[in-house]
Amino acid sequence: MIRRQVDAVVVGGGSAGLAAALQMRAAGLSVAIVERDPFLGGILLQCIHSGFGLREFKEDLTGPEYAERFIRPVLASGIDVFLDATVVDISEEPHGRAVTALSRGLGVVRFSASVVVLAMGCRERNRGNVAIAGTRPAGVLTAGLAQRLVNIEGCIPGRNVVIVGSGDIGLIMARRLTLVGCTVRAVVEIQSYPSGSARNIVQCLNDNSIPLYLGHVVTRIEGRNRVEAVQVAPLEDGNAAPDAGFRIPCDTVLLSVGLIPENELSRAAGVPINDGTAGPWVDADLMTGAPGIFACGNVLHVHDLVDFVTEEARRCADRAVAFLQGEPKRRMLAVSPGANVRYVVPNACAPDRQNVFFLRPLVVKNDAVLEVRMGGREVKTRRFAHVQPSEMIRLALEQGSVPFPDEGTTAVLEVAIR
Amino acid sequence: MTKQSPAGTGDRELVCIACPMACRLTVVQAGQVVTVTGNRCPTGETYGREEILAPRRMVTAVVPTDSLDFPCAPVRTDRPIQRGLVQRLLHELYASTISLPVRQGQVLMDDFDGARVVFTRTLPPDDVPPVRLAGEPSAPITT
Amino acid sequence: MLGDLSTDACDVAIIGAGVSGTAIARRLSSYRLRVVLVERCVDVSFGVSKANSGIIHAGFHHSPSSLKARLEIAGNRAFDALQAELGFPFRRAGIIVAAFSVEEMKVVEHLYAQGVENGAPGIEIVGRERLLALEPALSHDVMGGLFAPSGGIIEPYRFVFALAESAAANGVRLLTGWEVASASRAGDAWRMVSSAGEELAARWVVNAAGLHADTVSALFGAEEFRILPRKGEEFILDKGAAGPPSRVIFPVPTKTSKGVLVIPTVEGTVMLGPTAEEGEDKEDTSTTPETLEKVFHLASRMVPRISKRDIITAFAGLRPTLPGDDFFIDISRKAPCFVQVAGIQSPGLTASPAIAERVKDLLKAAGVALMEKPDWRPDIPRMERTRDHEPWELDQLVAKDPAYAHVVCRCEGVSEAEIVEAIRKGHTTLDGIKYYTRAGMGRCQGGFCTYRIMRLVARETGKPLESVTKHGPGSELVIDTIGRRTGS
Repeated sequence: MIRRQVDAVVVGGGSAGLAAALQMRAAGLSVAIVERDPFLGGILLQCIHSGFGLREFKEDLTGPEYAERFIRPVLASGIDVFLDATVVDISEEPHGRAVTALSRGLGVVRFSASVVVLAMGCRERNRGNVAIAGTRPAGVLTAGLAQRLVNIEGCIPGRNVVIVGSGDIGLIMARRLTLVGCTVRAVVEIQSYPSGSARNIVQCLNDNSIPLYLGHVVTRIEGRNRVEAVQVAPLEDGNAAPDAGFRIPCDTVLLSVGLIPENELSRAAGVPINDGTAGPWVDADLMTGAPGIFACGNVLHVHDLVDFVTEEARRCADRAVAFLQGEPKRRMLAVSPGANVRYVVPNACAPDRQNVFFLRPLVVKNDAVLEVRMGGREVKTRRFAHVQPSEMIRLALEQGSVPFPDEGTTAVLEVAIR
Repeated sequence: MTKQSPAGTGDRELVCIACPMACRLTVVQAGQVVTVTGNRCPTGETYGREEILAPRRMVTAVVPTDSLDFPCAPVRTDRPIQRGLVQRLLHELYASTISLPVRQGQVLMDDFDGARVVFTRTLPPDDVPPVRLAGEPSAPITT
Repeated sequence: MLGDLSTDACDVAIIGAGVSGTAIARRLSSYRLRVVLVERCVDVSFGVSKANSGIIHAGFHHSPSSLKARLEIAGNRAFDALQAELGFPFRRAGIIVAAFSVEEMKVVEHLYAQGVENGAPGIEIVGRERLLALEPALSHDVMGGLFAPSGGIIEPYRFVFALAESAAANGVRLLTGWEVASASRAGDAWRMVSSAGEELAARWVVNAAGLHADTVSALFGAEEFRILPRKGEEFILDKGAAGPPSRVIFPVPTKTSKGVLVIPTVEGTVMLGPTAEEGEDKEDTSTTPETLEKVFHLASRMVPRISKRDIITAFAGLRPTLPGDDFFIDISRKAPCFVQVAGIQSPGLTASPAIAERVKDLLKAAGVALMEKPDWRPDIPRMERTRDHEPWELDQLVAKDPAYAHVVCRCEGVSEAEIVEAIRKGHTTLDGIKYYTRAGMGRCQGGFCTYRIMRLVARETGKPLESVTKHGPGSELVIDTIGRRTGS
């Protein structure tokens, strides 16, 4: 077993892990990144399309280009990088945490760290999670797996594709598969509105004349060895109406049905999980319920823009540094999602400084009003021309805008959309 | 998302994709004269006009390599090219075989419809510095 | 062309490498016999056995006059020794039959009486309080039930793979992708030709062909019967799912089926099912949307805290049923030198060691010379698994092979070394690797590890990525590569 002592271990070398590691290193900490792929960059490396970095760099970059803006400084800055290494355990030690990883090159590696930053990202919901009945042939795969196969392994997974789900990943893959010579027969979306961006609907579906069936579900997959067709039915009163359904012959089914933060390691480490996000509960410092363990990026909650991941990771890193330097914990106030809000992250705010939140609506609404209230008092209001669940909202509350509740009361800051 | 009248005349409704604002445009064409309304910035007007007369698209793709570890390399055009030429570009790209190493930003094609095609990833990735196992690790700031 | 049949023919050809065929093969491998095990799929356990519920039954479900009951009891007893020899995952978790009404308790009493007569060890009728103490996850509406401590849980394909490995280690020849297309007498042997034109001769043939035992029987001019497939759909809940039981929970059985069960699997997931749907199509293993609701309704009645949110996958298997519902294990009276092992549905896996014993006895009684091999080895080398060790115990394993420290399937903790071992043992399909190592069975269902496993298969077999299949030819994962490269 190899032992290493560092100030901070970052679990995951994707967009969140890279930004957090750089920020902590810049503050003088010794940092180790543990990454299970043989290279840094995470999911960005298979996102070869552009649209990244418009906020962070004011440039329109592809995923690999965005990643390389962080990978190069990481390699130049004395951060220890462990590749082909999977963290299998995080446990308590007298002065911090023991992080155990299995590395193909080094065997068992045990880190002693004062802080741990969880940046493991998320996994995709799969066929079992959405219970699509039928046979189990080859050719059913999640959109992310298909993306990896096409963009990194250089494979073509099929010729005639049906995509379940109109989120951005599904739309991006509709275009990508068309560009490599496949025919995308349909995108099937359970909601009555597309969940991906208008830009992607145009660039991915309209450009390629791919039909989009809103308010429809795939009820069965057919085919013995390889997919042969899907049965599609419209929803009537929330239930599939098979009599009004139809069959689409195809040889590939791509599932783009949602993402889940990957928190098995967090659970095993005793980190309490927040139901609303499926990620760790975190206070205003992005510290989890386990002291010294912080979380940022998709493992905390599923982001849409990598630029926000970077911002969140840097903020998390700053708080981790402050923790390590023994800064006393500020007074915090619980933050909770109110009407029409699915979640707000972080789950607490510190009224004596600026607080930046990310939140997701539960509804699709035009002319929506975001209201932040404490007790009966209005703290902030913002108007939006349009909100929808697939578009995350960034909300900044300036220092001093949240009043301190009276000592002994348990006031909660509530964020709602009306 | 798009309504269309017979080609060359009439209105179309488009969503501008130049930036995430996604303004809804109404574009009226009379021959080569195109009027755009609904845009909130000049880029939108350009987009609306070009989309009718000469639509352009950024292209990102992967190119086959001769490497077993990295079987393909991602590339992009550095500016949009004519939509009608996208297929031709892809054909050329898929027909080539690149030899590694390549660096991000390295030029693959100098001029395809006025755009350069560049690699977007350094392959193989730059060496990770050897982990310091012997001697002092970079000094932690706490004991 | 076959040469001299008397020297070229093997002694016994077993058709079908499911749990019955592999158990028989291993049993016969302890004698000086040339045994060939023939399987039409590309891997063993790819037929009925792969959808098995993984229960070692306790011997109370079937009437004492049935062959099933006798073989079930004898088979159940054999599993401790088998586990010691073969190392598959198995645990005697105990079986509970839960009754919710006075009528159901009557059935429980009948089952108890059957179990006592069959000789099921330790079987008890229990009242509500003791039942809830035995299994706290049960609904408090339960009235009472049956407890059979000898019942257990097993990973069925690991068991079948282990039987096949042990048989092969003791000289049995395994031919996969070999489907019997025709059979004829040639002297005092059978001459079989595969659908690919390969030939095999054998003095004795054992028909253990599962769903296709009727087809095989007809090919040899043996008894005419019809195997009807009865479909069973199953649902898997993730490890760490809400409210799992620690014992196998049965409802009171119906005339046709043991009912929808709640099964804590030996690997930590929970399985709900199987259903029982009559059908005719032997290839139809599709699941149906309505079944999910039905199964959950039945299962949560017994174990209330389970949740649909924990479902990670669903699948269906087909039981090979015969009229009369008993095993048909006998020397054929129509075809010479032909042993029927047909209608092996539940409790087939439990009974398999005893089925093998019975086939051996039938052959012996028919005059086949059985001379023991003094060097027969019952054990097979243990499969090392990274996930079975605490990290600080891994140094030795890693020193032997660094690939044990390379985690490929993150959800199940499967290392590269284990996957390579599976491939080198001939499991070159994604499903075969999945059944052997569990890679791809976890919560992400292969989302992250599939391409890594494909690369390993390509690397180890020297074949291109396009040749990697899910479960055999026709189920390729990718159909082409960009730029049409060849080579992996």
